[in-house]
Amino acid sequence: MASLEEQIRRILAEELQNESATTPSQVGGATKGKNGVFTSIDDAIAAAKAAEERYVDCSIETRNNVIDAIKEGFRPYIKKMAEDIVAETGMGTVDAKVAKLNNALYNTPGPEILQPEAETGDGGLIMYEYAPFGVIGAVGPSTNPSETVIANAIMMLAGGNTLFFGAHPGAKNITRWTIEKLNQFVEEKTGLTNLVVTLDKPSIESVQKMMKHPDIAMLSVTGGPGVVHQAMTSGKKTVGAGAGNPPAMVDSTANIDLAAHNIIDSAAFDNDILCTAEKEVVVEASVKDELIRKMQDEGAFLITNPSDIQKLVDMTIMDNGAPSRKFVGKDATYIMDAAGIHYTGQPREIILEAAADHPLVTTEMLMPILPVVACPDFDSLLKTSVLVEGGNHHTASIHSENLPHINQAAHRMNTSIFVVNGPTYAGTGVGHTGASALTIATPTGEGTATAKTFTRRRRLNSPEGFSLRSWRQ
Amino acid sequence: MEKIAIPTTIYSGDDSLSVLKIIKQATVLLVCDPFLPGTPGLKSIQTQIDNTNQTTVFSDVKPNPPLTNIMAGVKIFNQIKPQYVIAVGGGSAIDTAKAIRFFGERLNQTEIKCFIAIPTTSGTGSEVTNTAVVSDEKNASKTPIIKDHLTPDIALLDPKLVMSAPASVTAFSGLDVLTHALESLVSVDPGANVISTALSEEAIDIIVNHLVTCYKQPDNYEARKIVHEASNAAGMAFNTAGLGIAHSIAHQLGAQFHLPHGLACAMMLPIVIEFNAQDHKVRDKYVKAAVKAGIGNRNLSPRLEIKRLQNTIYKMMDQMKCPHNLRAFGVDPAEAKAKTEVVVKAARADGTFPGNPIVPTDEQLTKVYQAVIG
Repeated sequence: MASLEEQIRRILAEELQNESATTPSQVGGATKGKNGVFTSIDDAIAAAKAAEERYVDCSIETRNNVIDAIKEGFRPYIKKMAEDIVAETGMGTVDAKVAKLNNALYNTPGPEILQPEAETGDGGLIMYEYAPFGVIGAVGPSTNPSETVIANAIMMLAGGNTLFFGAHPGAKNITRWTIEKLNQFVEEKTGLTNLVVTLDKPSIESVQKMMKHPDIAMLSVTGGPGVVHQAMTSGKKTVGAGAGNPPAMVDSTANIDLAAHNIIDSAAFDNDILCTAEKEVVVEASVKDELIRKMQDEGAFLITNPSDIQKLVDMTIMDNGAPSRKFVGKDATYIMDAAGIHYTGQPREIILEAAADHPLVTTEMLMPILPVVACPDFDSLLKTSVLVEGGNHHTASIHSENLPHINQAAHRMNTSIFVVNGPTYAGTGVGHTGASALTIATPTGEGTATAKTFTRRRRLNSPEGFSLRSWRQ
Repeated sequence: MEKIAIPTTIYSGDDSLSVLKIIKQATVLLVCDPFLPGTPGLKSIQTQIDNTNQTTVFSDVKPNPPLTNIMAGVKIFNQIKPQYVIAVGGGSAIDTAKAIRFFGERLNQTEIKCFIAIPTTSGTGSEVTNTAVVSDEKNASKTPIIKDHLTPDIALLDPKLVMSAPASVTAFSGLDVLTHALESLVSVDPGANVISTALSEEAIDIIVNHLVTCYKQPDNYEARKIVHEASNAAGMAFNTAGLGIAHSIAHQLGAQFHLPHGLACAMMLPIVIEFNAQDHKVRDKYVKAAVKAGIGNRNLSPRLEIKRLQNTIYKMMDQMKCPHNLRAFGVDPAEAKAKTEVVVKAARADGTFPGNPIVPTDEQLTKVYQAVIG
């Protein structure tokens, strides 16, 4: 063998010593996550950052393709997602989830709303465009898990961002499933990966770490005051969506049939879990009885016995004043069964008469319990409504045919969403009533968020041109 | 005077393996990739070899064929003194067989009757080239053996053999073909000519329009066949015309960061196209080929057409899940940057370097390399 080797080496030495290098054909450097799901937060954010560096240079056509992939990909899974959300979170109703998913998927505007603005004249051209922030850290609620992932993804990706999504622990399975599927759809259609990333095991700590991570450019947080406050003190630009306690005002001029229908339909939608849903009715005393009667016709069950009302309060409001998780988003019948309250039929909302300072009025209950507060006149009705809304400035509605009343209330309530003679879910886009609004940024002021909310407004000046109307020699 | 030699007889199609029936009462050395023995692919080849023959299989093939493995093969060659050498597999198997043949013939002062190459990937073009690259792991060096008589006598292109390749192999080897075609198109050493240009242009057209189909539909016979032939055509083109700095640097990316060869080529290709397009004669060659391949159109400015060509390559990479740069592949950019001097020096010494139409300065080569770091 040695002599063979010597011989071969000698022949080889005779050959050109022109050094050349070829390569092994092994695939390496595999990314650590799969379909956007990572074990470590640093890996997840690094992947979203790498994806962003690539995505930011992609054409608008690619952004549209990404969003089309999401819309088309989820189409066959809407019913399944709705059922899985209800099964995992135990909150809301399948029908409402289907409506909300359709709203998030097919009613969230994409890059088309990010048209530039231009001014021209003797100063040449001044142009403004809406550019991406980078990697956005998003935190979602358990009340809208897949809907928030989808709507946030469409809005943020439309703006050219990528996102890290911090799942709510109470909805972690469906959130993860949604993100994995989303990545599969996007990769299949565009080859892009990790546009939306998350962790396999979400935790409060990981969200806190994410908020401080240097590669997170912006935060979008939907949740309680604690997490919103934490985001706002992070030093990063924050879109914060907070709590509400929307009053539905009904004055003596209202179309009571319509008001009763809209209020019950909207409050019972997804078992009153939406932050926009009517949480109390404030009505002029002269029409109160008629309204209550008609609300009963719409499927509400009126509780009158004071001891039943007290049982309801004791059962659903915890010692710290927050609504009990055991009953948030549950069916009205489930709540009354648990409280031992006798009812007939299949009521979808519980109503009761209460004073303005009653705990069921002042607490954001997030369950189908809708107290009715009577006021002697419109002035006190409006004052009471401002009071019970609790300074959240979130959502309110009025049912009235009196234009000055409507205008005065819209002005005075000062809410992000104000609905006139309609269900408040209209303010979220359900029922083709404007763009979907899954993130309602009240504390930080952006209101119902769109793709534009997640962009930076950038300005370009070109004093030597261009203006078709003006030419300086 | 230009020399154009395409000595290999090529048979293409799903019945091409029947050519092996001509071998009778001979001693055959069959060199193949280690994962092939026992597979239906190799069986379909072996059943075509008449049983009047004495066939010995050598499958100890490694990527970057190391001298040790080649010596083991030469030992067998010395024992059986074959009249036929059949190489089955990817570029490494065919290169190993070529090297075994080279040393075996020299040591025994004999000549074999016929060398038959049967590629199982659409990529290297090794079945029609005169080169075998040998790694000497003892001296950590690589030596290309370039001898015209090493060019296979017969190449059999059976599309069925490439259908079982993993998707990533289809992607990387297909992008290697595209790089062969686009580099040979503009190469100056030995230099492109009308014949090689025709081969390059057709290969570009085919890869641009059919490679992604192979990736997405691995069993698409028509697409596999035409891409397999394009690989072959591009092999003939660069065997005549030479390559360029996309390969020179890609070889270093393989050595330094273990990138698959075809992927490294693909990452370099758009960057090198932009660099070479500074020379307007070179640019016009790219433009002509791109328009023929259906990219952009004649009315675009050359600059825009080049951009379209680059974007087409990136888009194909996206569709086949190929990262665009080293960072995306997982290489630490700082580490890649630190290797600049080594890479530039080795790229300049690479055998493919003289083919590049612009001789880059060290500074330019540095820029081209650093552009792929990302």
